[in-house]
Amino acid sequence: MRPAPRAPGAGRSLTDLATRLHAFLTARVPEATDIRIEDLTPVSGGNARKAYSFDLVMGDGESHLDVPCIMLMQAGAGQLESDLTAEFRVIEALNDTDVPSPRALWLDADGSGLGAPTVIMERVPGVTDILALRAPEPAARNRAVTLAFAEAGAKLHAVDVRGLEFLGAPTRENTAAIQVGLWEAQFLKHRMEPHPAIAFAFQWLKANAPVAERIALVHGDFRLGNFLYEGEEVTALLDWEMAHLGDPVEDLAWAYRELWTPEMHVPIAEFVRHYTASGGVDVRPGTLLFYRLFSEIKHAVISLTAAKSFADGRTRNLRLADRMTLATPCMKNFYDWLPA
Amino acid sequence: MIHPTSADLLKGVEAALRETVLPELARGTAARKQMQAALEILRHLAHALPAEAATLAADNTDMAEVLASAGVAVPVNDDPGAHNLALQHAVTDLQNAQRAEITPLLIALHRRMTDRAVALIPPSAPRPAKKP
Repeated sequence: MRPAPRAPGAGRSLTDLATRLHAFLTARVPEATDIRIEDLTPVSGGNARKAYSFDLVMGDGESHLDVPCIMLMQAGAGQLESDLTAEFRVIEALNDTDVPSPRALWLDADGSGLGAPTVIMERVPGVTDILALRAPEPAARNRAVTLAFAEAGAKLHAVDVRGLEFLGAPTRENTAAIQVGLWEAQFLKHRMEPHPAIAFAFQWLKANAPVAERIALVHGDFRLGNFLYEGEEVTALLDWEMAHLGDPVEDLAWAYRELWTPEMHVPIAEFVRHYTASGGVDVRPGTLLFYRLFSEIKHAVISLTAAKSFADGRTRNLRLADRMTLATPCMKNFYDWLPA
Repeated sequence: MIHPTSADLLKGVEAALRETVLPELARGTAARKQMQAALEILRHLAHALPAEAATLAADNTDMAEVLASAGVAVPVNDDPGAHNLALQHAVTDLQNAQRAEITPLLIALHRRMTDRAVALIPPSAPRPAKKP
């Protein structure tokens, strides 16, 4: 007899997961008389999360409602320490705005219902395909999607931040220093050697932190591959685990890191102009350069954290084992771009 | 030098696994993803191994010279790896002192060491980006 298919990372079969999910949703939607979980399927979810797609069919005795869902489950150590509750609250807050984002549905913050901390969101149409977006063709489509991405950024950064105090309370003056401090703390916690080149970079960033034009909701991982698109439209920004309040220019700089840049379709200067014309903040060149330098160091620290989680045996994901290879070009960029 | 060298062996293991095992693993499976990641690691190691000792020695010499020029006592250790760690600590202490006249020396040191580290990365891995 063949074993039942496993739910990767969750340590149990898909059948077991479907049973738990049914019980969880039955408790959350008591008014529904008939709840069915259909087509529960693992989908790509990242290094530290397992994602599942399913259709929730609910009846109230007279009619049925079919809700396409995506479920993200925490699964072991990865590149980041994330807080699913804060992520859920951010997505929930965006549901009343014009920012393209999935509808937040349910949260199992402590994993008591589903076996691991989990968020369930509405499944939005579209694809994330980063390779297609960075391909030379179709150039017109890829350019249009990149510009739509800039517009989505402008909408995001125009969101009223009142009510998002659970993300902190930075000021225009201290937000850059706060972010540098957070990533420095991550560096100090996870480094496996002194890394004086990275330590120096943090000194420089702290000494040169700019004042933000405005405090906005910053996505924190705003880039190709982290949004859904359909045709030339951005249908949803995804992966909110690094969302915080801060300087919106941080997102623009991160979007143009070499690993995922859309520079071949829209040069960064044009992206920034289009973003500002769409309602985004005015971007000072010095601030953009600061956040491009910061982005290199942030990515170096994410890589270092990933490598450490493998070295410590907290994950057996081999993609994380050699991640320090990605940190080295980050450091090279930082020192090449550092103003004289 | 014993032939095949360790780097030759790593290259051979990588090629053998890529040609004989990888095709047997179904696309999209966790096993295939793990194998692909392992092959990248082997490729990286095969590329870096021949230059790794020389890079470590060059870094150690470089850090020792910068420390000496800043008037700081240079740690001594016969083991190159342990010596490297001691030198990294000493350089970190030096930059924590935030002596303005030393900053250009430190930036130049970090640029040279970063350049040497980049040279250990195989060509198709991510490379530094264009200057903004």
